[in-house]
Amino acid sequence: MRALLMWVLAALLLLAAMPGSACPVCRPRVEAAIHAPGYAANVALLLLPALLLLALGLGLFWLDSWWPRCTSAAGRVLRFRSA
Amino acid sequence: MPLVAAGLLLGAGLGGFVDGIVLHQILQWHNMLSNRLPPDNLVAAKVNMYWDGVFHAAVWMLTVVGLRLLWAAGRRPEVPWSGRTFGGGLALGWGLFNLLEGIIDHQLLQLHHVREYVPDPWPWDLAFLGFGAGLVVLGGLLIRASRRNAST
Repeated sequence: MRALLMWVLAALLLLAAMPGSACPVCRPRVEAAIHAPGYAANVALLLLPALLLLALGLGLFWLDSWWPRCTSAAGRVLRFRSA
Repeated sequence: MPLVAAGLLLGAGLGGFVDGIVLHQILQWHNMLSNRLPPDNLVAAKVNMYWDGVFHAAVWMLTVVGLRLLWAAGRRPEVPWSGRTFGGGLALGWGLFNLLEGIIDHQLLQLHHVREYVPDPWPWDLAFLGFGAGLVVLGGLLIRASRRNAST
C-alpha cells in the first residue's frame, strides 16, 4: 500500500510538471491555458469516473474480507442476547 | 468477489486505454475537453493533449491497482481461481467504465462526445453507452455462470 501511495504521489508530481515542452514558440500560451483558474475543477471532473470505479473496485475487494467478520460479529451479538 | 474486483479495475483501466488509444489518438474522434475547447489550433490541440495525458494517467492507475488486487487475490487460498469469473470482471469493468464515462463526461458534463466532428453526435454517444451496457450484461452472465459451476 505504501508503494501505491508513492505511485499516486509521483502521478501528482507529474501533473505539476511544466507541459508543452515540445513547442518552444507556443509553450507560454499552452501553460497559461492549462493552468487557468478552472484547473482544479478540470482535474476533478476528469478523474471523477476513474475515482468512482476505483472506489467500487476497492469496496468490492474489501467487502469480501469485512463481510464475514461483520456477520460473525453480528451472530455473536445475537447469540449473546438470546442467551 | 476479490477476483471480480481485480477484474473490474483491470477491465476499467484497459477499457480506458482502448478509449484513449483508439478514439483519441488513432481515429482522433475526440479529445478529453474537445467539446469545451475544440482543438482547431496548435495551442488548443496541445491543451487537449495535456488533458488526454491526465486521463491516461488515471486509467493507468486503475490498471496498476487492479494488478495489485489480482496479485492479492491469487495469494488467498479461499478464492477460487476461475478464468470465467475473471473474464466476467474484466467485461464488467470495461462496461462500467463506458457507462460512467458516457453518462458523466458525455451527457452530464458535456466535456466531449464520442464523435465530435459530425453534425449529430448523439447516436454515437448512444452506441457507446449501449456497448457499455452490453459488456455489463456479458460480465454479469459470466460471473453468474462461474458461480453456478462452482456450486454444482
